[in-house]
Amino acid sequence: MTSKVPPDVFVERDTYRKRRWMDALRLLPFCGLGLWALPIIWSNGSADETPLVATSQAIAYVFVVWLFLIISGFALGRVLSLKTGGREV
Amino acid sequence: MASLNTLVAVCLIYVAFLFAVAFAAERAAIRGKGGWLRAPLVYTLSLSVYCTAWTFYGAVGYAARSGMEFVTIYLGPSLVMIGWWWVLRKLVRIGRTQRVTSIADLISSRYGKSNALAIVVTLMAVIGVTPYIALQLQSVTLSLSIFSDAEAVVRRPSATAGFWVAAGLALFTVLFGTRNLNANERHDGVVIAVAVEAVVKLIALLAVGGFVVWGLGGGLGQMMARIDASDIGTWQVDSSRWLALTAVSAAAFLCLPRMFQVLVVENDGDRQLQIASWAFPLYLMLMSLFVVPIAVMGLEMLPAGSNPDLFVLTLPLAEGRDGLAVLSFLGGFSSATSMVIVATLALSTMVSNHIVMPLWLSLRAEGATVSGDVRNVVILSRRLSIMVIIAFGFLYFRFSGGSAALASIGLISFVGVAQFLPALMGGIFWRGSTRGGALAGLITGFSIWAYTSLLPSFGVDTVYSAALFEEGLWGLAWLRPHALFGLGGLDPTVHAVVWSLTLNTVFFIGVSLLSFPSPMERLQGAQFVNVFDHAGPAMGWRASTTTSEDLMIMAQRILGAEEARDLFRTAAHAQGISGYLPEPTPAFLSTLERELAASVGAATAHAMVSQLVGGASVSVEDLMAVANESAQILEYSNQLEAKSAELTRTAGQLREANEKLKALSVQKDAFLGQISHELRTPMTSIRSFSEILRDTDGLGSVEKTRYASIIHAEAVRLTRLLDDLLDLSVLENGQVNLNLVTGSLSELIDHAVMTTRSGAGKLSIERRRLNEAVSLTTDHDRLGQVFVNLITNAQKYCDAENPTLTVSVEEKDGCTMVRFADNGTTIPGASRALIFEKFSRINDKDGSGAGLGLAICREIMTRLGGDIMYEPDEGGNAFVIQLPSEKRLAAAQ
Amino acid sequence: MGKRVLLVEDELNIVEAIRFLLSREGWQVETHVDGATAIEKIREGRPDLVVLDYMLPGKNGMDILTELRADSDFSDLPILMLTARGQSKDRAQAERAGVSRFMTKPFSNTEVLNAVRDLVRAKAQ
Repeated sequence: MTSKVPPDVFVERDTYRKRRWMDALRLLPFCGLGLWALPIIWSNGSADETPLVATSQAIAYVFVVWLFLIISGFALGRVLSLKTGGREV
Repeated sequence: MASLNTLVAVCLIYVAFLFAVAFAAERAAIRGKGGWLRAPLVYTLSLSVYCTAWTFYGAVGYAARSGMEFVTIYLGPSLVMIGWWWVLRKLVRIGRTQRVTSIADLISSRYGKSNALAIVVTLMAVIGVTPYIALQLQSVTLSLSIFSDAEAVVRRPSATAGFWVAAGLALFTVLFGTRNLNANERHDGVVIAVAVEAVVKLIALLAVGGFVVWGLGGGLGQMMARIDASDIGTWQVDSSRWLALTAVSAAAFLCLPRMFQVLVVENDGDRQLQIASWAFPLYLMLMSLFVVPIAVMGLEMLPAGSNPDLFVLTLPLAEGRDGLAVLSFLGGFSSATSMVIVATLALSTMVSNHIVMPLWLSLRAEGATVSGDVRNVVILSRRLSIMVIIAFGFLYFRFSGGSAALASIGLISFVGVAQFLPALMGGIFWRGSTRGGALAGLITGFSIWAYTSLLPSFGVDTVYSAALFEEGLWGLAWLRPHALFGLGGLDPTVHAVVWSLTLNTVFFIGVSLLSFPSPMERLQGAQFVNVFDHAGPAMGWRASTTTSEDLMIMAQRILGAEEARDLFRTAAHAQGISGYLPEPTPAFLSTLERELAASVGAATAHAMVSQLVGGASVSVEDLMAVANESAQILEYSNQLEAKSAELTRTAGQLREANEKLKALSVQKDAFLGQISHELRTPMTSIRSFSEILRDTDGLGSVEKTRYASIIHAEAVRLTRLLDDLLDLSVLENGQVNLNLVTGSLSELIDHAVMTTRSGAGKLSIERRRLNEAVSLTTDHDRLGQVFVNLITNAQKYCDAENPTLTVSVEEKDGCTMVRFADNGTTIPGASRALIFEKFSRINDKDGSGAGLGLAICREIMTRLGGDIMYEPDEGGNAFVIQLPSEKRLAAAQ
Repeated sequence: MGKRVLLVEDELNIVEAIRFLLSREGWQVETHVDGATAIEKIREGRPDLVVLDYMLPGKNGMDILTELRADSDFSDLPILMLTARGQSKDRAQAERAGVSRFMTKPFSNTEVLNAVRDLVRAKAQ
């Protein structure tokens, strides 16, 4: 049985910072989901009044989001593995 | 134009190269130089089995038909990888701690090691994945046919070529997938081959893409313009499909047996996962980077009616870039082969562990205690499974005619395996999910998938009639395959996803809420959901009647003789037992079961161990652990329990103390009565005779002397009694000061004999002086008192004709024993227990003793840290004094 | 003359003292050490007085008393009981059992002689 030790409320600055980076890491997929779900509000030709989004723009958007997620994931991973001294986070 | 023969030769060389790489990797791993095989990069590249021929060829075809929609099947997995911390981290940890061999094993293990569930998952996986394998065969033969006949671009793929491809893949998988039995061990050869193929397919696609963009399209800017000008130049993606396909691909990424194999089974640590979390999305992004440009250029440049699924090949060919085309072909070939190898490996493990082995075991009457090496059976069954699965794929390919677009077959497969998701996620996040719920959800979801997605995919008038599509099953409109419950107007794929996954989830949750899990399910549930809290396994085998020999025999058959011996020896060593047979403790049985599970799956391993161990395997402690729905409740109840236990203990102590006091009070009364009697008796004589002397006139001098000497004797008796009482009281209260001196035992006995010489009478004392040469540090006066007492007792009570007391000294268990044995009448059995009690007098004829002598002896010996015992002797009595050893003396002080 | 007393006592010195005292009063003193045989001697010899020690080997004084009083032949036999235990509950128990006189050791010789005289006189009346 593990008895749940209440987490310390006040922690050192580094620990606090590390936890916020963890939060960011955890939030990243939701961020990606939101950004990639955005195209559903684009006009897809069923309604005529709005101009259609060009495929080149769509490609650019999707790939920029992709690149953002990859770089963020990489950076957060690096920051966290540095902060934890290379141990598993 | 490269000839077909050249291509086949290239293929063979490439396969030979893969063999060599795989072989080298296995060798390196065996020699312990395989550290680099576990590098995060290799792990990331091995994940690329996700990118199959569907991805390689089909994505372009998909883009040519539907624009950007193709990218959804990459977005889902990217999100899962980016969000690794949420799901994958837990899955991988569970996979490692539970030694999971496949997704069927995980689900069955989670829901109480239910083999029924494992069979259902296995069958579903085989049905779901077989078309996918067919798809790979189709793509390889299709691409081969391109080369054999450049004109007939849409030619039907050759069955013969398909057969040889299938046979080759089966051979490769058998060779590298079943070399080691332990499915939980990494298939280093396969993994490295897959990683190499991942590089080849990425390079091939990037090369073709680069050629298309910069060689044909005139650079990035112009390419973008061409894209916007093409048929797919505007965003025309259906929102529901965009979301549904992203979700389904994410689900499939987790649930596909081959993905589970590389993600979880082959995983070697969280670090691999952490790197792959961004590296694999990068790989996927690169794989999809040039898909749209290739599709657009293909549409633009190739004749109308060309199969867009093959643009990757036909574009370089049409431009006369044979080298690039061959590279592209190798990329597609790599995609297809890696998928087939890993998928077949994963499926064969499932089929073998959950269908063939249980069947085989149940068919054998002896069950787990079969003779012969089970390992051969397991390997054989796995090899057969591989061949059967590939054969299924080939047959599907052969009879479906290979006509359907690659992407649609792939999607159908995705939706099928996505049905595992509710049971999988519920299993690792929700302790309340049950086996019944999992079964209900899986079967519901799978049936709906088959009805709305799989069967319609064969086309109108094959399985379903046109009427069935229009009017529904049995003419029931609400059963129309593409408009279930009247929900029409949806895209068929979205329709299938929505209905199958929704009802799957509803049934899973509903039945879980209504049913009650078995103890084993609850145990496993706690293990899975709290995998980060629980370090050790909690499933318990009850201490059992099984013998370690039986377990050893079974383990040898499955793990192999050497591995089993190692495992047992290690366990025995951990238990502190020399030799190789450990006690069958619950802990050892759990370890053994997990080791076996790594070879034959949790359900089978559990069944085998329980066959030998027998009986229920869930102990009260385990149930207590499960009852711990929250740590707090348990903590609280533990506290209550502790308190109540403490109360019970206190009450018990009080009761005991009360009993003791009562007994003491009775003892005190008896003691006072005894003392009173012992004091009053001599006093009576003294008083009476002194009154006689005082009051009687004319007593003769003889009488006077006699009465006076009675008075004197009784006074002496009284004095001795008071002395003894005082002595005893001092000894009992522990107020005695021991005067420790070192001296010889022999001298001590001499002294005692001398002291008692005056009353010696007829008693002769025999001694063995040789043994008496023992040096002794103790209170010699006190020990001498004991000796004197024993000699005096012998003098008084030994009733033999020639009374003899034999004093002997012996060493026993490191203690010195002094034995005083007389040849008098043996004390009757009933009295023996009393001789050391106060005031107990046995055969006291003249009443001169107070009955305290032996009680005092016992007290003295206790104080000195030794002991005194009575031993009835043959024709006599013996008192044995165990002399204090130095250590005991120290403790007594 | 010729009155017979039966003395049941295990302390030899006390036996001697009582024998000395009672002989001088003209009693014929018969002694027994063991409680178990004493009761037979009483039944056979029908003494005029019994002096009984409380603590005896074999059978204790209280048992002998109870047994004698249960027999109608001996219900009025004068019995003088002596005890060294000196506990008041013993006296109460003996009186319930029908002892004629109960005395605690150590006794004074005069007391014993007076008690014996009283008992014989009471019997005669």
